[in-house]
Amino acid sequence: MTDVDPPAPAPAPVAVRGAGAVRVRTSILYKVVGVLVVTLVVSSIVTAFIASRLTSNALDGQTDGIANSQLNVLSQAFDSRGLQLVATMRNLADTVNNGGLVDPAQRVTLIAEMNQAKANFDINIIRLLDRNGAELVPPVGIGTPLGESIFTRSSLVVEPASRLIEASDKTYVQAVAVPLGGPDRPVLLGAYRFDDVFAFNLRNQILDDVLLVAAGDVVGTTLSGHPSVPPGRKDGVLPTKPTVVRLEGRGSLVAYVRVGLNADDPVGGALGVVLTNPIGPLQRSLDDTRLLGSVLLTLVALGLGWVLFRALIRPLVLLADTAGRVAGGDADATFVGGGNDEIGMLARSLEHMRLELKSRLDLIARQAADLQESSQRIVAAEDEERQRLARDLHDGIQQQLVVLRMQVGMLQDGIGPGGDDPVRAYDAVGGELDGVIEALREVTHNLYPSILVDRGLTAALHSYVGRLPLSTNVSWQPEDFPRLAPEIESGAYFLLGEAVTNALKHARATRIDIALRLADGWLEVTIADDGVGFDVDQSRPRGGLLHMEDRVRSFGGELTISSVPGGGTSVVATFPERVGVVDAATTG
Amino acid sequence: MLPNVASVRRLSVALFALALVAAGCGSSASDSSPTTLRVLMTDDWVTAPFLDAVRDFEMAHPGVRIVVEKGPIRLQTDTVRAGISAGSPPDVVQGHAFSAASQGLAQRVGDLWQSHLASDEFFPGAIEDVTWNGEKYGVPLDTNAMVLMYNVDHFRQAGLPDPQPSMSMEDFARTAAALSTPDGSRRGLAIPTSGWWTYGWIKANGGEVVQVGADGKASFTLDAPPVVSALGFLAGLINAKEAFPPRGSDSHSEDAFALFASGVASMHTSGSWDIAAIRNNGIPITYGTTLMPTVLGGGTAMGGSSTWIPVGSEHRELAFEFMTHLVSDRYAIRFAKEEGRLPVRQRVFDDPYFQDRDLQVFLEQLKTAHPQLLSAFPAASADYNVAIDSILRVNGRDPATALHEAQAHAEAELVDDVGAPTSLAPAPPP
Repeated sequence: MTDVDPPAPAPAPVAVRGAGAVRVRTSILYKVVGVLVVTLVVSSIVTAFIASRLTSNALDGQTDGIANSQLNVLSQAFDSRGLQLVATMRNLADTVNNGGLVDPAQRVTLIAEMNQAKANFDINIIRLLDRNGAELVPPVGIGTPLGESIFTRSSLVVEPASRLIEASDKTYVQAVAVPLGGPDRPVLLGAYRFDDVFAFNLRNQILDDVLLVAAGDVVGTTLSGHPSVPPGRKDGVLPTKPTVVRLEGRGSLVAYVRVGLNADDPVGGALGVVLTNPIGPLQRSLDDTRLLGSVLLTLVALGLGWVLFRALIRPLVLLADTAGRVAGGDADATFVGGGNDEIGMLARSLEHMRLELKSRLDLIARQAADLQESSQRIVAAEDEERQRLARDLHDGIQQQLVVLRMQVGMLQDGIGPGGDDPVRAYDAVGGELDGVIEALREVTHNLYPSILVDRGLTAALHSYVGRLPLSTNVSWQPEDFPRLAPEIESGAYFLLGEAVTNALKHARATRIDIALRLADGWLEVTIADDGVGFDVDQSRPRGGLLHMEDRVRSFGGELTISSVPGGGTSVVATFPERVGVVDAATTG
Repeated sequence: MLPNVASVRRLSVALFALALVAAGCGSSASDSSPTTLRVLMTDDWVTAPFLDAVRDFEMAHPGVRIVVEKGPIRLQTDTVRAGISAGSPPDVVQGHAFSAASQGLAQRVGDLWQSHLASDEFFPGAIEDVTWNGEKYGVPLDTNAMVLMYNVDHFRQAGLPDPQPSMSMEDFARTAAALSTPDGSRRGLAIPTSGWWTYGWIKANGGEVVQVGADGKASFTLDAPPVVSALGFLAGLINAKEAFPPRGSDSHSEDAFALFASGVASMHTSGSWDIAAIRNNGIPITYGTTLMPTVLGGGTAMGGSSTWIPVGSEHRELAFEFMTHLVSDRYAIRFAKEEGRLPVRQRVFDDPYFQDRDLQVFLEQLKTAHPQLLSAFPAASADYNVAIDSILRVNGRDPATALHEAQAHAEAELVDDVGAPTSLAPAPPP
């Protein structure tokens, strides 16, 4: 058989391999990346929100505690300073009383004692005042003179405790007034300034910025901006709990504690602490982290999408591309996908399907080529049969008719084959006519036996073997052999004739067995002889065998020749019982 | 073309690493603690302009927190020395850099001067305050000169004319006598036991207590005739009840000022800070200023101070930056206006504020002012203080004898004093 080259693969449609494939690819990728990004970002935001809320709550509690602790330190520092002031001034008063230092003659000693107290306890102001709290003339003391009656201008009274009062220079001091002995009952006043210096001293203790408030104004602070209005004050009320304010360009918390002896003190002293708002930086940090996280998550999502594309989408796209090429006719395009996952399984299944399809296509191609060759051989055989028929008619019947025409002419001239005897002449012509008729019968019988048309295959077969010059055994199943399609019957009949002729011509057979069997919609024709046989593997079908094979294949049947040298030959041909019902699955 | 598997792995690793780095950044974003700069000032320096300078510096340096400590100057050396020994000295100290350098307490800052300051902008006397053995150890902060302040009302009441710049010691003695009341309740002068204060009178008398060579070696002249006569002059005022004696050995200039401000003493010799104290505190006194009484060629004590960086400070550059911040023109003018601390840069005196008549006296007096270098020698300084404490009291010791003893002790202790710097100071920074 001749191998037939597979048809060249047709160019794959652009819609499959080009834009269509890209569209599918990007669409899926966008979906995958989109889902990843949304999922990651949403989960990140939710997590960050929950974390920030929990952290904020915890920090609020801690901040309250820190603020209270710091305010306690400030308050205690204020109170301690007051107690120290009271003690110092009482001691100084004792010194003054005992030494009679109120006497102007002792002024040098009094000043020295005041300076000593100032140096020892860092007291800012020590003044000797008259019984009404006014400066003496000339004034006596160290630090800022207090001017006219301090008792009148402020809420200061002579009592064993310090108070926050306004000094003459509009500053505020923590002061104590101690009475002295003597007829004029002068007063010794000592005071610490309630100012920036004190604020810085307090900051050294708590390491947080400090606010000193008096009469509603900030009178001392460590803050750079030195605000005059207490930060965080609302409706005239200073917050005692940490309150968010913005100071020096940053978020801070401020809380205050009231200081002084009386809640209704008009000075309304308070100490404030400014804490770094832990939530602000945390919030900024969280915001930064969210932003950074979103960017990273996007990158990660893109990366994962890309990885997924590499791992999932790309193989699918490659499979789709390959499928498109296969669909376009390129049966050699290979489905690649060596993994053990579903895509790998799909790739292997598709590859298996491709190989199967390719096999079928190859088979079809081979069959088409065979059919083409077979058709050519059939045409050639028909031409040869015509030539033989023409030769038979020319050499036989035509010659006989020429002779007969000559005899008829001779009869007309009276010189026929019977001589002058017309009867003999007509007998001779009649005999010639009988010969022509017999020759015609032979020719027509060889062309298509009428018995085959009239009585079917078994009758024609029986008639045929009756004319054979050797022992022939014929059998068929079923015994009541039905009529088949005329094409099948003629095909089987002429195949039988070809096989028997071969046996007679080449096999030197002495016996031939012919069997017909009808089963499962197939007609099986077997011709077996006891001739010389031949080596099937060494002999390529040609001549009559090839003719028989063409005849069988033209019906979709199959021809099997079994033979060994010296062992006879068996030819088995199968024909479909009906024309056009060849099962493709059984022809491979 | 799609990348290969290796590229995928590299990308994945890079993304993971990026995430880790980002996580690290996020966790460390809020982990910042401020740098603390400890500044030790003498207690009369922690005032509004100084605190504003602190606040401004902190605002300009958000990561820096300045802890202001203060104390009397007499305890400053011991405080710093204890801090150095404990490994936690202050970062900036206000006082006299030359004195700290002589005791091995201060770091050299010549290299920082070269990159941040120009010496020729400063008064030579201010540069002296930060120089020891030809090396710079600090930044001048303020300058001053001891002048004579007087109660104008007292002069009027006594029928005296205002004291003149050309007043001699004898003129001053006569004036003090005229201002003093017979009962001694008001006297011409109040005298403290202050080395710097008496140094002003010694310089006015043409004396000197110590000569320091370029190599840092000292030569004491505690018992030199001008020194002896100057202290004898002051002792004579006390004995004549024309000056209040110190209340005790720890009586400082504040006592003298308080007596002057209280109208008990009619004259007072001090720096311009006391003028600021009168003005700022609203002390009801009418005062005038003039040059110190002097003999031919005499001068006065230079006041002022400087800032320096103790040995062992871990924030040398930041400390120096704060020191230069303090001495910037902005604060120099404020210190002058609000605290009477005169600028150390000559250009600052171009400000109209310094056209004030009282301040002009100080500027004139600065021409003959000298820093008191005895503080660079603690032992000798202590000997000198013992001497003046014994002299400046009613019927005190003979000045010549007391000062001679002080001189002898100081010379004997000179080896220790000079040896102190090298024994205490670690290797200075380059």
